[in-house]
Amino acid sequence: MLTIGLNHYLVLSAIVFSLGILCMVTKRNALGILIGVELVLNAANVNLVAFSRYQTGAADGHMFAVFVILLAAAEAAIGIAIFMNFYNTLQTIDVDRGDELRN
Amino acid sequence: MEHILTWLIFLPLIGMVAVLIAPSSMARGIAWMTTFITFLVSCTMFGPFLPGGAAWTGDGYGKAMQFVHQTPWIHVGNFHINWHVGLDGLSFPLIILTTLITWLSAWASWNFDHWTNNKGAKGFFALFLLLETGVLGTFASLDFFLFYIFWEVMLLPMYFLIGVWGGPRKEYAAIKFFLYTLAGSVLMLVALIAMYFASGTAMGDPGNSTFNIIDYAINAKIHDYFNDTTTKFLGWTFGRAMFVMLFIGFMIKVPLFPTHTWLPDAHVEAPTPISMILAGVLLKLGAYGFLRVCYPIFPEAGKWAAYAVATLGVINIVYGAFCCLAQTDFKRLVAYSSISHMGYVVLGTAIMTDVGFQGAMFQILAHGVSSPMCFFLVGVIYDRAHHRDLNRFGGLWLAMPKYGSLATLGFFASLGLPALCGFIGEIWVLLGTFNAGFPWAKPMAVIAAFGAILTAAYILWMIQRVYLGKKQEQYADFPDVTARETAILIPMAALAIFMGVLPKYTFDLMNGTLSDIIKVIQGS
Amino acid sequence: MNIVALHPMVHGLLPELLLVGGASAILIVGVLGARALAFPLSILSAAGAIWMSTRLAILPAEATAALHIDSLVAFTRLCTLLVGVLILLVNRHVPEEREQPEYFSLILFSLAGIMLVSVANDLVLLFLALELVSVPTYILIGLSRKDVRAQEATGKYFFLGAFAAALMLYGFSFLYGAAGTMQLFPAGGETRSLAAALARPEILADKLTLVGLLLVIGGLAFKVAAVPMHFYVADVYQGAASAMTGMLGFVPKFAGFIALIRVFSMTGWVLSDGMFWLLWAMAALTMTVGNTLALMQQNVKRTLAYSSVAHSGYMLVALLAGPGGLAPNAADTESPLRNGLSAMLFYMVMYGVMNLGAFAAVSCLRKTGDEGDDDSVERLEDASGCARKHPWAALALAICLLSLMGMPPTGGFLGKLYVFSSAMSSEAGTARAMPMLALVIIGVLNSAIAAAYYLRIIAACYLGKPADGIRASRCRMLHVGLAACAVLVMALFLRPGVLFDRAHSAVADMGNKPLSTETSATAELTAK
Repeated sequence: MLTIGLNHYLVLSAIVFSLGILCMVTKRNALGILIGVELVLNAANVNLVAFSRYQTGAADGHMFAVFVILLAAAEAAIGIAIFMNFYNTLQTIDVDRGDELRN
Repeated sequence: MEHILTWLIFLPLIGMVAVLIAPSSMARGIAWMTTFITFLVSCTMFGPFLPGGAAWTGDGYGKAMQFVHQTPWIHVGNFHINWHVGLDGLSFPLIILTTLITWLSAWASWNFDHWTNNKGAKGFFALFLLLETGVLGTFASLDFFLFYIFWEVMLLPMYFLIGVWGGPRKEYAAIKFFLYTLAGSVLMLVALIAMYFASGTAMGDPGNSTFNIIDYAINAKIHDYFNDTTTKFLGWTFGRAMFVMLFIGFMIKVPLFPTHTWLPDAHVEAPTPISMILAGVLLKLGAYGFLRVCYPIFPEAGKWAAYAVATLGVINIVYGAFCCLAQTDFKRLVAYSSISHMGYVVLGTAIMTDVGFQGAMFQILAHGVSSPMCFFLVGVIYDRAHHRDLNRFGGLWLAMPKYGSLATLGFFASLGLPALCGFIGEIWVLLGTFNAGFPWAKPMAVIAAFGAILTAAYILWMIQRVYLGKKQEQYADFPDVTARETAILIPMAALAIFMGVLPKYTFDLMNGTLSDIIKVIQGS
Repeated sequence: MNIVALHPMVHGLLPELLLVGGASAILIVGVLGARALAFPLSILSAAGAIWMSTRLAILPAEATAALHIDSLVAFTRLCTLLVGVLILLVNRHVPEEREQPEYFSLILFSLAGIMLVSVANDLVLLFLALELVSVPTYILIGLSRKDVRAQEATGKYFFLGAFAAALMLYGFSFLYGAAGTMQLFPAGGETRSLAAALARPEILADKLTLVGLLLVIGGLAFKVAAVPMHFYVADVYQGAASAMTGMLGFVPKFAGFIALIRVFSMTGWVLSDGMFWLLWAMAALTMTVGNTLALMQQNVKRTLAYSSVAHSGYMLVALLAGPGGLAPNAADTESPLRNGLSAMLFYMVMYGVMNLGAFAAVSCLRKTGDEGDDDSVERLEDASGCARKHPWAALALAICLLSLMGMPPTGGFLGKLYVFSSAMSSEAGTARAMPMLALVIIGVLNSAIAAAYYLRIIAACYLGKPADGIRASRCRMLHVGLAACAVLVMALFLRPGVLFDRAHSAVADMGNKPLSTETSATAELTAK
C-alpha cells in the first residue's frame, strides 16, 4: 500500500503551481487570470502545510496558510473591484482590450 | 587677501546672483563689470610668477604652488574630498587667458539686444558667468575630484548658451556637444575612482587614499605604483589603462581626430562671444588635462602611447588644414583651423621633452589669443552681412579699411607668420619634434611642417576671397569697425604682437613649472 | 508617556501603529463627512510617526522573536516617512474632494508597509508587509486618474503584482521547508532561524532552497522593476497620474530593496558562483535594457518609467557589491566607500527624492487632455518651451533630471559615485574583481546613454518652441513639495554626509547591534 509522504504533496503543489501559471499566461478573461493567481497561492499553501506536517511538526506553516487564505480573499476583492471598473468603462473584461497605453 | 584664488573663482558666481536679481536691462552691464573685475583681480596675482618670484624656488613640481587654499569639504568615513586650489606656472597663464577672453566676450555680447535670438538677457549673462566659474575652477583645482566637478559644471552653461541662443541647428549642436563631452567624462570618472583606490593601496593604508593631483605625481610610493607595469587593472597595465581613459576624456575636449566632429557644429551655431570662449578657453582645458593629469602622473604610459598620440596630433594638423581648404562657411573654416592648430599642442605634448612642452603650452596661449580674435572678426562681418559664405564676399578691405587691417593681423597671427604669436608655438613644437629621441619623430615633424604650408594656403586664399579684390556694391556701405569692436580687438592684437616679438616674457611664466614636470617624467 | 508597560510587540511597532492608526482615523473622519481634514491629518500622522521613530526608545532586538529592530529599521523608518511627507505634499492635488480620505490613508498604509518590511523577522510578517506595500498602490493608481488608461494600468499592475507575490510566496514555502522555521534571524531566545539554517552549506546547496531563493528574488525583482520583471513599468507609470507615479518610483522599490538586503543577509552574503552571475546578468541587463527602452520613448512618463528600471540596475550593482569586507585583502572593511549596501541605500533615497521631484514637476505643468480634462503634460511636444512661461517648474525639472543623469552639482552624481566606487573596491583582489569592474564600465556607459534621453526632455523644455495651453498647477502643496525635492537634491550634493553617514551606520550595525534606549537614533539626533 502506498504511503503518502512529503514528496507527494510537493509534486501536487508543483502541478497546481504550473497549472496556475499556465492559467495566468493563457487566459484573456480577467476572472480566469484571477483564478490562476489563486491556484499559485494555494500551491504555496499546500507546500506550507505539508512542510509543517512532515518537517517541523509545529503549527506555524498552518498559521501561514491561514494568513495566505485571508490575503487571497482580500486580493480577490480588490481585483474584482478593479475589473468592475474596467467593465464599466470598456464593457468587457477581456484584458487584451486594454491597449490605450503605448508609446 | 588670503583666499584670493577662491574669491577669484567665485567672483563670477557673485556676479551671476547680481544678474539674476537686477533688472534685465542691467544684465550686460553687470556681466561686463564682473568679468572686468575678475580680470583685474587675476592681474594682481602676477607677482609670484614673474622671474625671481615665489613660484621660482626650483624645489620641484608642485612644491611652489601659489595662492593655495585647502580645506575639507566632503569627509564621509575615510573618503576625503578637499577644496584644494592653487596655481603654478602651468595654470596661471591659463587663468589670465580665461579672465581676459571672458571679459572681451562679455564685451562682445554688448549688442545682445540686436541679436536675432535676443530673449532672456538675464539667463544668457547668468550662464555666461557660471561658465567662467567652471573654467577658473577647473584650471585652479588641485584635487582631482574637484577638477571633475568643475569640469562637469562647465558643461551645462555651455549647452544652454549654444542651445538657446544659437543659430538654426542649435539643438543638434548643443546636444552633440553635451553628449560627446559627457561620454569622455564618464570614462574620466572610472579612472578617478580607480586612481583613488589605487593610491590607497600604494600607500599601504586605504585610509591614506587621496585625490591630490600633485601627490599622484610627486609622492614616490604612489608614483611608482601607478607607473609599475605589473600593477593591473582589468588585466591591463594600470597606468596605461588610466592614461587611455583620461586621454579619451581630454581628447574629446581638445578636440582630437576622430572625436572632433562636435566642434564645427558647435562653433557654427554658437553666438560669437560663445565661440570666442569655446575656442579661446574651453579647448585649452583638454590640453591642460594632458599636461596636468595624463603626463606627470603616468609618464610610463605616456612613453608607451607617444607614437599613437603624436600620430593623432599630426592627423589633426593635416586633416584640419585640408578641411579648411574645403569650407565655404567662414566660421566653419575658423573652427577647422582651431582643430588644426590644436594638433600642434598634442604633438608637442606627445614627445615629452622640454622644448615640446614649452611649444605646446605656448601654442595653447597663442591660439587662445588668436582664435577668439578670428571668431570675433567673423562675428563683426556676420553682424553686417548676415551671411558667412566665403564665395559671396570680396573687397571688404576697401569697404572697411580699419577692419581689413585688424583682420589681416588676426589671421596672420593664426597662420603663424613670424613676429606674431602663432609662429613661436608652431616652430617650437616642430623643432622639438625634429630633435626628439623617437625614431618616428623626424618624419612626423616633416609632415607637420607640411601642415603649416597648408595653413598658409587656406588662410591666404580666404583673405584673398574675403578682403581683397574689387569693392562690391552690396558691401560698399558697410560701416567700419565701431569703437567697441576696436576696443575688443586691440588687446588681442596687441597680445598677438607682444607674444610674437618678445616670447621670452610668456615663456618666463611657465618654463619653471614645465621643466619641473619634465623632471618628474624623466625621474620615473 | 509610560511606554515601559506596553507589550514589547506593541512597543516595537509604535511608529507603524501610529501610522496605521492615523490612516484608519482618516477613513473614519471621511465617513463622518469631514473630508477636508484628511490631508492635514495624514501629514500629522506622518509627522507623528517621524517623531515617534526618532524620540522613543526602541526595544532591544531580543525582546521578541517576530520583530527585528536594528539600525536598518531606524534608517528605513526615517527615510520612508520623510520621503512620505514629500509624496503626500506632491499628491495633494490629485484626488477629488470626495476621495481624499481613501487616497491619503492608502498612501499611509503603503508607507507603513515599507517600515514593516524592515522590521519583519518572520516570513509571514515579511510577506504580509510586502503585500501591505503593494495592495494600496493598486487602488491608488485607479483612484489617481479617472480615464480608461488608469483603469488599464491598474489592471495590469494588479495582475502582475499578484503574480509576483504568488511566486514569492511559493518561494517562501520552500525556504520554510528547508529551514523548518519561519524566523529570519535568531532573536528573542529562539535559536532556530533561516539565517542559521542557510549558514549550513548542505542546506544552502539544496535544490529546494535554491528554487525558493530564486523565486523570492524573482518576486522582489518585480517590486524593484528589475529585468526580467520590468515590462509593466511603462504602462503603469503612464497610466497613473504623474504625482502618483512619483510615489510608485519610490515605495515598492524601497520595500523591495530592503527585503533583498534581508534575504541576502540571511545567506550571510555568501553568493555561489551561479547566484553571483545571475545577479550580475540581472544588474547588467536591467541597466542596459532600461536605458535602451527609455531612449526609444517619446512620452516623458514612459521615458522616466524605463529610466526607473535603469536606476534599479545601478542599485543592483551596489547590492551585488554587498557589504564589503569579503575580499581577503580589504584592509578597511569599515570604509563606507567599500560598502555597497550603504551606497545602495543612499542611492535609493536619493532616487526617491529626485524621481519624485521630476514627476512633481511634470505634474505641475498642466494641459487640457484629450477628453477635455485637466491633465499633466505627457508627450515631449506637450512640454515644449515650458521654460518660457513657467521658469521655476522647468528649473526644478531640470535639476531633478540632471540629478537622475548623475551630473554634479547634484546628489545623484554622488549616488552614482558611491555605487560605482563600492562596486570597484568591494571584491578587489578576488576572482570577482574583473566582472565587477566590467559591471562598472557597463554602468558608466549606460549613464552616458541615459544622458541623451534626459537631455531630450530638458531640451524640449528650454529649447523647444513654446507649446500652446501649458499652465502651471495652482496647488500650493505641490509647489512646496517640488521645491523641497529640488532643494534636497542640491543640498545633498553639498552635504552628503547627512544622509550617507546614516545609511552607512544603518548597514554597518545591521543585525548585530540592536538599538537600546541609550544608543537610539534619538540620542544621535539630539547630540547633533
